[in-house]
Amino acid sequence: MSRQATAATRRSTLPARLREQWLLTLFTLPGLALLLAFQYYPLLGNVIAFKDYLPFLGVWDSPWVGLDNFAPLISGDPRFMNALLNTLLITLVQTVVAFPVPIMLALALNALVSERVKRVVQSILYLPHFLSWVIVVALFQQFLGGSGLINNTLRASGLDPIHIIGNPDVFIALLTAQVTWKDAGWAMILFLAALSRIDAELYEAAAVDGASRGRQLWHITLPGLRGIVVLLLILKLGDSLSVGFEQLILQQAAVGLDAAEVLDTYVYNNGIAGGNWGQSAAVGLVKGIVGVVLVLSANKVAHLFGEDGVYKR
Amino acid sequence: MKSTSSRSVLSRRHLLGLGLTTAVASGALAACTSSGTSGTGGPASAVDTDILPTYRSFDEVVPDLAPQPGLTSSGFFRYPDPVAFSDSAPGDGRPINAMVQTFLAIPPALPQNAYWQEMNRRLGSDLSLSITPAGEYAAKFATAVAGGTLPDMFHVGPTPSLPAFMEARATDLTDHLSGDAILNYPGLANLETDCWKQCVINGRIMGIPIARGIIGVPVLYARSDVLRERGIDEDPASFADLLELCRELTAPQANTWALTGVPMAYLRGMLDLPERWALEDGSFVSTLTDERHLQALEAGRALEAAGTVNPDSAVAPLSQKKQWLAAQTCALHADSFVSWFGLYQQNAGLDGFEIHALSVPGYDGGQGSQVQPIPNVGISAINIDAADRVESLLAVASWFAAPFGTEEYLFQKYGIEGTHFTWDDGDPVVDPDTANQVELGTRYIADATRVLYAPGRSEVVEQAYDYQSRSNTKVIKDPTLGLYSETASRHYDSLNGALLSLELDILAGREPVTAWTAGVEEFMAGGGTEIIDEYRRAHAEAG
Amino acid sequence: MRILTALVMAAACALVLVPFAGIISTSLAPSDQVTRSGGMVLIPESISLDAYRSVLSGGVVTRALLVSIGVTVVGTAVSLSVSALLAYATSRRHMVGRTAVVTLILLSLLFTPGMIPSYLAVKDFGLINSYAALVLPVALSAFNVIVMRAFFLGLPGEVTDAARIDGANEWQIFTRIALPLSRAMLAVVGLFYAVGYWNAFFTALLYLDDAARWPLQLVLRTYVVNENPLGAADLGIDRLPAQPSLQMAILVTSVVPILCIYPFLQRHFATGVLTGAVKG
Repeated sequence: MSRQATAATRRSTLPARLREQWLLTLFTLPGLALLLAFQYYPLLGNVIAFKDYLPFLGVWDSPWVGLDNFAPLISGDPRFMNALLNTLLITLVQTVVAFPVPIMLALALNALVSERVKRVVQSILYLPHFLSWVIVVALFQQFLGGSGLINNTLRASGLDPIHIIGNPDVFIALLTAQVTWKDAGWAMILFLAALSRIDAELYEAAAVDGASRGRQLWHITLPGLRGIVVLLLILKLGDSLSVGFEQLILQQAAVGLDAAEVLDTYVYNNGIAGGNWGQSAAVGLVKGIVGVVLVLSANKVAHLFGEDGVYKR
Repeated sequence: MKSTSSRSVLSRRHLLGLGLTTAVASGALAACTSSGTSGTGGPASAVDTDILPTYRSFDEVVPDLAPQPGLTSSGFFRYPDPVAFSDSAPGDGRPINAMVQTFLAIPPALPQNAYWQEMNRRLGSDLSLSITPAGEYAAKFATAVAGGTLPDMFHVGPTPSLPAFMEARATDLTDHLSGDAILNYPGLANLETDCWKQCVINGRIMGIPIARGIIGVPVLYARSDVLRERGIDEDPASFADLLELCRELTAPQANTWALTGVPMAYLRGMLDLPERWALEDGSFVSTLTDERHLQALEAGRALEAAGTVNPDSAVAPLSQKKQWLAAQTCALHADSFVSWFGLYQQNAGLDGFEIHALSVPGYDGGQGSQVQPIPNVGISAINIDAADRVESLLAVASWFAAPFGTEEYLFQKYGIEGTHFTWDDGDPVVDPDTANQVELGTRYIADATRVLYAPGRSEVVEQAYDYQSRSNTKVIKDPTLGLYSETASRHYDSLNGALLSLELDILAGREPVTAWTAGVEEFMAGGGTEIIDEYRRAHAEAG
Repeated sequence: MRILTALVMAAACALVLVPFAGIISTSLAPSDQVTRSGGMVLIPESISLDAYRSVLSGGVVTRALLVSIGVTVVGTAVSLSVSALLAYATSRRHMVGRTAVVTLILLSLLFTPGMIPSYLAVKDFGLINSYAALVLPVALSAFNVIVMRAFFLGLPGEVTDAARIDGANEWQIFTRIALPLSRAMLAVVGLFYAVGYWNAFFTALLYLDDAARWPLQLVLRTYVVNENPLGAADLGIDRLPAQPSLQMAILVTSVVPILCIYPFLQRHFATGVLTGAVKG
């Protein structure tokens, strides 16, 4: 078809547009059906946030209790506030320290010349993602614990052991190290995929123009990653009130609740352990609302900086 | 990255094991949320005794070591000649659905499982089982309750408002089990009276106890061979002795510590101190404000401060602690009394491995107390919708509870001769290749009274029996047995969790011992007072 | 700079490889060596396959492996198709109701239903005890859809516009242009989904009563999490492989199959896949 001929079809006829819309709507149907059936339909069950939910009575027959399940939040229970504070602190540290690691790994890997080395390194670094937290925590204890490999060696050679596992002062650092070790290589894959979209011609052109590798990184590679980085940051922000439940509860005893109680473990220790499903739903609702606020604000900020964010204006 | 399966927090219930002193304490806690406590106290008899089933012990098998009521279990050096127990198949021919938990690997499916097939044949009904790993049972149970999908027979998981739940979903068994009626079900009649108290709810027998009796008590094990090598052949006779023993067994340069963890139950036993509750002059009280708690914590802190506890004890799971004991990284290990035999089996490949439970001395000498938690690991129930089959289902439960020494017991625990086990010098020897067929989790519907028996290790049986007859002469029992507190069912676990966490803080030196008092005040303010009131009322009502 | 990068990468690899060497060594080490060490073994004195034999005996694991592979393959296919369609449609600027749909997706990421309501939903749809219950409730990950959508939005507009002008309908643009240009992203999201299905055990725990239908992760979990593997204590079996060996053998068994798919996806990460398409 020639250019001139198609210019006419651009202002396409109404039936054609309708057909296009119809197709796009059709595309969304299976996904929407799943969302409605397995997310939104059960979400109705979160009404138990306002009930004294007893499983054998059922959702509708359980008695209403108003805002009772929100009590720790409303009254500012010190244990709850401590958990909230820890959660925010851990999220902050992990966002600043752990989040950039996979990006740097992806860039470093991208800079490696040999395709084979690249592949080998990639497939090594993503391995720890497959270990469960039980195993990761056990491995860290085996190596870094007070009776672990490193300290045993230190003591055997007459040196002082280093207190890492079970030391509340370095607990957040330990958590961050564990998260990084477990998931940095895995998260890197997404950035590698983003890098692969960058037009190789840009690099060729830059090389022809004599741009250094550093300049190429700054002017081609980083801009190419920016969109996905911003997107992931915003999503992480929306999730900032959840930090690794399993990782934390496995290690709480070692450092105490002052340092290691987070929102999810608080709900578990104080609600679910006694069968208080209502409270867990209540905290879930609050977390969702906070998440919405954070995502919306972050998205606004992203727009100000000319980024797409999660969705465009 | 966000994973697709981070749905539930409950899935990790087993993680709550945290730093509980003994396996039994946590096991009892998980299973007995119904009563909501793992506390301890003086002797109790709170349930209306008129309704309780008659106890008729099975006496057709003569043990090598006779049981002394309240003191010891029966001891067997060999498996006795199997005697027949039931004359007909207990099932009614219709399929039986049941929901159980298991602490073991799941068995092969029915078509690949000769044991399960034989079980169905012997039962006279096809058994279809929903088996859940014990750590996740709470979640599975909660969803089955919510979805109304409970099967004919089920192990009762943790639930708030247990009485209302049982009334809504369980068949009333009183008419079939009360008094001499139970004699129709000889397996169940062989369960001691105390065990049934937990099953009496609002004056009716609503469940079947999964009895462990005095087998489930917490003890402190010592590596006898390690102690002997160092010329130590006496158990500590006071706390000062224990501390000194621990110091002697600790050598950080050689990466050895005395203890796998702070043995709090043992220390409280030394002080004759019930963990949470007691009966004083016949009335129900809390021991939390007792000064001796501070003393017990001081003692625990002293052990910790002297560097005698493995530095990773708070983060290590029980299995890791057992490995420390095996590797001689530690020589003292708090565990459940039943583990005595299991520890030997796990370490059968170790030359010279030998353990014994340390007797409990008084803090300043004399005899301390043996802590005795609730005698059950839980209860099971028959679905209210299966009430028309209750007699046949009870017969099945009775069959599951067939006593040690019977043909039925032999089959249930060891399988089919030739396929799953062979005889060796009077003991059944399990074939490791087919062993995983032999555990279906039916022991969490009903189970026999436990005895002392360790194939090929009669001297261990004798030692364990001796320990029982010495230690159980002075015991701390849990007075909440058979009592129900609604507040406890909802808040005890979290209130108690806060106390346990404080205990760990104190032991680790992060909080002073005096912080305990404030912690107890918080416990009382958060619902502890109501809990005591409710138990007190329940106790008074039961007379 | 280059040397530094190489050194850092080498160090990172070592940090991963040493513990993994420990895992594999422990799974292969003889039982008494593991017992003596009290935990991990870095260098086995001899090689023993007893732990693997224990894990694989009885046929339970083999069967569960087949279930896992089936669920992973079918699930990933379903998830990828549904997600790609949804992500593509909502990436089209002229789609009516686009904002509403995107909002629905985003909110589902922030508000998650509880365990019991999810169970009730699965029950209401009649999926209890069916393999579909392992796929449908988790088939759509909002996170993955949002990532996919971002990639589709980043497709060069001139290519799709040209196609529209040439009279291609949305289906044709989707299949002939959008998907081929997004191979790297599809590989990544496919991997995310596949690993999610592979690792999932909780759906099976709640939705499948019959253990014979359980996937590998749940079956192996009963070996690892229960502290008394294979019932040694209760059954009176002496001389079982040491617990750490078993645990590590189980770990290796559960991870190796899913690792096999990575090399096949890797080639799609190669740089510059767009170049040819844009020019052509």
